[in-house]
Amino acid sequence: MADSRAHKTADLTNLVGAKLGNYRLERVIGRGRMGVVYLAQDEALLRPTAIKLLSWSAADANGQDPVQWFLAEARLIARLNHPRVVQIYGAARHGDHCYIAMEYVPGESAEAMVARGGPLPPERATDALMQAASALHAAHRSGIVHRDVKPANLLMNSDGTVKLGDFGMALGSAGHWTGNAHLRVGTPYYTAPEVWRAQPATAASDIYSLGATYFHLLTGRPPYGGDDIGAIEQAHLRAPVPDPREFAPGLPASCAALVARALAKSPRDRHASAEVLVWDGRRVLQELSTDRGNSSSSGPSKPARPGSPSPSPAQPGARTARPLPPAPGTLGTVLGFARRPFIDSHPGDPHRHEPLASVEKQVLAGLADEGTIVIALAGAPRSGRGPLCRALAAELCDSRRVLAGSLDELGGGTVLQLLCRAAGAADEGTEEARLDALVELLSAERRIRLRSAVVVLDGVTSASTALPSLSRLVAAALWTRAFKVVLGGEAGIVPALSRAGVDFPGGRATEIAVPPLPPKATAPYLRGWLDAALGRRAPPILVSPDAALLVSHRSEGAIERVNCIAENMLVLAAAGKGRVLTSWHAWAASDSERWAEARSPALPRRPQTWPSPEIIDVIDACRRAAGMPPWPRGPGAGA
Amino acid sequence: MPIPPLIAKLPEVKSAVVSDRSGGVLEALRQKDGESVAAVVGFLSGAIAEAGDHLGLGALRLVSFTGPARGGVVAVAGAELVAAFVEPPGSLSSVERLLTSALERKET
Repeated sequence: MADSRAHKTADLTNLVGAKLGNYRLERVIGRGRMGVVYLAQDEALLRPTAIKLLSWSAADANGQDPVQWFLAEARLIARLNHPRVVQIYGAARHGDHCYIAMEYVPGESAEAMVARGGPLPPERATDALMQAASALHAAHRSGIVHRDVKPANLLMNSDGTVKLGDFGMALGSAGHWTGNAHLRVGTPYYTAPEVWRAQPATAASDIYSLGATYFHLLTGRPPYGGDDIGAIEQAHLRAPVPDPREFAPGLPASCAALVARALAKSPRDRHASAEVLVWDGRRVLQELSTDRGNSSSSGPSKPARPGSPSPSPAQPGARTARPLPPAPGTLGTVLGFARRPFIDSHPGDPHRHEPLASVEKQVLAGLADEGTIVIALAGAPRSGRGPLCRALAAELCDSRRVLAGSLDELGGGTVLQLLCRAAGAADEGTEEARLDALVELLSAERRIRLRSAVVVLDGVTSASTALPSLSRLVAAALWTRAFKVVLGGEAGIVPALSRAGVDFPGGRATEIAVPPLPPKATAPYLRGWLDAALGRRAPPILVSPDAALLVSHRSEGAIERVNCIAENMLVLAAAGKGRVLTSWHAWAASDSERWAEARSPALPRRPQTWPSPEIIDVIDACRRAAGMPPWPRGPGAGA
Repeated sequence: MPIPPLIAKLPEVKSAVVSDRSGGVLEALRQKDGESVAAVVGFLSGAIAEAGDHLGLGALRLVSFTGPARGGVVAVAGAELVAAFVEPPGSLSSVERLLTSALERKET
């Protein structure tokens, strides 16, 4: 019986010229335990096609109905629609033969390429790893474990693309090997330790196999070589992960670090997913690119792929030294303001007042630090972190690619959609594709400018529905180091991201608090804005100390509330044709609605008696805190 | 320094305010908006003191100003400013004298 099946398998190689359906078999291009692969011509569509013929013995060996098993493989692979997975055209039984018609990938396998030309350059090997990992990620997301990732299954197209082929071993993923779930599968040189221990193959074991494949591409040999299967097994189970630099001395450390992680004995210590492996590969590519740029001193390297973005600033309207807009309404006509005071878009002097100036310095220092990837700007709503985020984006966009936005602007969209729009990138339809496109774009930017791009996002809360997308974005930043992320939001963003699954290695994330404007700094802050915005010939606007104290008290030092109250005080002053801002203005001015922007705001009127005893109590409390004597009371005291 | 009682009792002194140099109101007499007046006096004294420095007058002690209907005098009393507003403006000189002597008494 076994001889007969072996005979049938041997016969499969002898079918050149035969016609199966529309396909005329031209030559054998591959052999494996699963069957034989022919290059065939599709005589209907006139295109080259790969035809995989089933080896009956392989199916029988697993106690399956050969036809059902074979068709199951075809259906399984057909579920995958990914540019890096070999595409299935169809499957059929023809006489004694079952076959799958699939995309023909011109070129050769990575195994053949290395055998012919030796180890691949690290850039090429890493690029191949990333492409294969991207295919694996798609498979894993569909619940499919490849189980046999190895150099022979990486099809290296002549145009530079790499496709992952031969999902024949993956049938266990679809439940066809339920009785033999612990059967070891794969090729010994690339098989993960847990599979050697007869545990089921998982996405993590595919990552291990791809790591071993990467090792092979870099060095020309698998991590644990030799002919003795027992020795290979023991090496996978117990030997330290070999350093590829021992076999290829010129390799950069980043390649070795990726190998070490992917080949970790415990699945927990490997890359968390194939997607993370893609990101790690991208980081390696960047470092390779940077090293090359530094060593050659021939200027920045060019992006590896066509269609990369040009190094233009991404943030429309975000410029440094942007002039203040003109003063609206009565602020200009009555009070003589040349420019609008107390707005948040101006990154000029008033915004540089303490405490925001030192926060900004800290953020810029963090961005300059190579190790820091994520900076969380923690501040209460309207604390000034929003204007600060905008000011930072404006400040940075001259030297780096900056993508900026606020989660408050999401509407029904996602963070990644928002960023794709900001980047001018096409919306790829799925979150995964969007993230991939963004990472690729920002990686290319980094290669061009030799500085990390920066994503600035405000409005982050730990309860945000955008947290999952944000987590993936942050994880991509951590892995690729292609870009840095500044997140403005409430305190505790970093722990919230950790809870959402982001693993922050030490020092990669830092949280900087946006402190409130101290009461003592309020008066100079108000003065700074007034001096910056008043027309040259306009008489001064005076602010009573009690007005400044009440502004501080009501705003709790939140800059945006300070700004709102202060501008409304001016609107009130203009309505009364006065130039002194008093405690009444500070008390009566809205801290939420900008009256200067309202068409005909209903402005409060000053009462006959000011202040009332209750308000004097408030003023006195502010005065005590500031070390001032109490408000004058008693007959004739002013009320 | 409280408003000197002699000044407070003068019928031509229509109002008076004591403030600190930053313009915070400390005391107000017959003045509905002592806070605004104090802010202006604080600003004025700062500007005049600066001008006095430029002119070599030494530390500011007294500033008087008059309009068609009213006059005003601001005296510096240590860290405080005393402002008195007089009507008619012709009566300003007597108020100035009273204020000056009150300050001298305080200093001795």
